[in-house]
Amino acid sequence: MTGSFGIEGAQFTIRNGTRLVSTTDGTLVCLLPDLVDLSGIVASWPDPANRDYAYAFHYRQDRNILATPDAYIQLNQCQVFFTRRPQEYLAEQVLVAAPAGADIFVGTVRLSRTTAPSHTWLGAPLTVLVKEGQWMPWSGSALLEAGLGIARAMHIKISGGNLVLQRQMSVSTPAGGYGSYGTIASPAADNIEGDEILYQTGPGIPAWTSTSAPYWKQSQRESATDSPVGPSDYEVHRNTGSDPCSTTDPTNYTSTYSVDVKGHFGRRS
Amino acid sequence: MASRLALPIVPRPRATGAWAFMADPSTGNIALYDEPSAAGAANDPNSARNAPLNNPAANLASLYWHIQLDNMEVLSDAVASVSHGTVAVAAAGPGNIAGTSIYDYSYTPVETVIATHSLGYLPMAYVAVGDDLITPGYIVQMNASGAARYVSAYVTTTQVILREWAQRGSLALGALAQDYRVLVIRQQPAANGNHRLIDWNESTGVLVMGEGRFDSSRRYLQVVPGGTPFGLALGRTLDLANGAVRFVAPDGTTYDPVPADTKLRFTNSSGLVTPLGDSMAYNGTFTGEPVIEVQAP
Repeated sequence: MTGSFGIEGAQFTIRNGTRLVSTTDGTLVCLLPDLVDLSGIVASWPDPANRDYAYAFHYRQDRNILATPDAYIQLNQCQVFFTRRPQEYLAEQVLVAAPAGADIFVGTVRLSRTTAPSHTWLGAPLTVLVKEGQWMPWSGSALLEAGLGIARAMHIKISGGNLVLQRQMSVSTPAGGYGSYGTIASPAADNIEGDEILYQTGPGIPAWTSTSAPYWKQSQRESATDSPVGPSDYEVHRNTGSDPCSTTDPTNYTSTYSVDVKGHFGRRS
Repeated sequence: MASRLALPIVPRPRATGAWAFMADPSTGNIALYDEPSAAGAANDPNSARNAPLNNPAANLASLYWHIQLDNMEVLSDAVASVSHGTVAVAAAGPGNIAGTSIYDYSYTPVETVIATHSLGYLPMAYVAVGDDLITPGYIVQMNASGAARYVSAYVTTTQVILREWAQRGSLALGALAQDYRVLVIRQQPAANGNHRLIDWNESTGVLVMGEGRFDSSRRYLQVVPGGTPFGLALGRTLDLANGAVRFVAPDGTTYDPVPADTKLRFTNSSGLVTPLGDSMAYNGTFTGEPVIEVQAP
C-alpha cells in the first residue's frame, strides 16, 4: 500500500493508496475541542395572540295550527367556539456567541415540554412530535407541534455571529361559515329555523368548543297563542339574550420547553 | 431533483502573507495556518506569527488544520433497511366543523434501531436518505392528499434510533421500504503517549500525527471533489405560513404536505350549507437555506 503527504501553497493533501484521506483544499470540518454544553434553555411558544370566539345561535319554532289556540314549540340553542385569528410568529433567542472564525456548529439537542396546551385543538391534542428526553443530532429545523391550522417549529443555526434558537408559530386562515342562515327574523307565524354564527372581532379557526354548559345551552318552551311568535319573544340563549353561552375563554395554547444543546463550533477549512 | 443551495467547494482565500506548517514538541501541537502577523521569529512556536499553533481557539480564522481540532472521524458507515407500514386516513373533524382535505397527525410514533455502537458515550451521528442528511423532522414520503411520513433520529450510548410519525390525509399513505445510511462519528481519541508528533510509515503509506490523534487510515467527514456528497443543512429546513409547514430538504426538494384544497367551515343545526373558508395550504416563499456537502471518503 502506498500513500503520500504533501504540502503545497498552504494546502496539505494526505492519500492512503488511491483514497484521498484529507485535504485542506476543500471543506474539511475542524471542530474546536471546547464543548458547548447548554442546559435548561427555556423556549416558549405563546398562546396565539389573536384570541376570539364564534357565537353560534340556533332557533327553531314549530307551529301546530290544529290546536286551539295554536301551539308553538320554540327551541333556543347556543354554542361558543373559541377561536384564534390568523397569526405569524417568529422570535429568536441567542444561545451563545460563536467564536471568531467559526462557521459551523455540530451538535445534538434534547428537549422536553414542561408546559402543554390546556385544551385540544380542533378535537386533537397538540402532542410533541419529536422524541422528548433523548439527544437528537441536529441540523436545520424541527416541527415540534402541529394540528389542523396550527404549527410550531424550532430552528437552531449560526446567525449574526451567534448560535441562535428561533421559535416559529403559524395559525391559518379562518374557517368559513360565519353569518346568518335560514330564518331567525321576528315575528313569524309559521315553522321557521335558522342559525347565526358571529365573531367578536374577526373570524378565526375554531380551536375548541364544548357541548356542555356553560359553552353550550339549549332551552325549549311551548306557547299556546294565535299570535305570531318568533325569536324576539324567546332568544334567551342568543348572544344578546338573558342567558347566553359563556364567552370566557378557558383555553391556553402556550407550550414551553426545556432545551439542552451540546456540541462544538468549528470551521470548514 | 431540485437544485441544492450548496455552498461552493472553494478554498477560502489564502492570505497574501506567509503560511506555515509547524509542530511544537513541548505542547504536542501541530498545525497548518496562515501567519496572522509577521512579528517574531519564524522558528519560535510562541512568537506572534505562530500564534495559531499554540492558541487555536483564538486564531480559528487563520487555521486550515490543527491537531486539537476534531476532524469528525466516521467510525461506522452502514445501511439499514426499514420497512415502514401504511398510514391510515385522517380522522373525521370534530362536530359542527366540516371541510375538505382535512388532515391530522398520528400520535403513535414508530421507532426502529438502525445502528448500534460500542463507544460508551453519546456520539454524533448522521443518517442519510439518498443524498440528504436528515433533519429532526424530515419528510421521507408524501402524497397529494395531505399524508406525509416524517422521520428523525436520536442517539443513545449504544444505539442510533429512527423515529417516524405521520401527517394523515384523506387518502392512506402506502407502505415504504427505505434505506438509511448511518454514519457514526467518533470523538478524536486521546494522545497515546508515544511522543511521535508526525509519524510517516513508508511501507504502509499511513501518516499518523499527534500521538495517534490523527491517522490517515481512518475516514474523516469532508468534501472531496469528485465524490458523491450528502447535503448537511446549516440553516433552516422548514418554514411555517398560514398554519402549514413547508419542508425543503438539503437537496432542494420542496414538500408542501397541506393540500391546496384544505378548507374548513362551520356547520349549523339547520343543516344549511355554509361556505368553506380559504385554503389552509402553505402560502409563504421559503426556498431553503444553504447547505454544505460532506462525505467520508
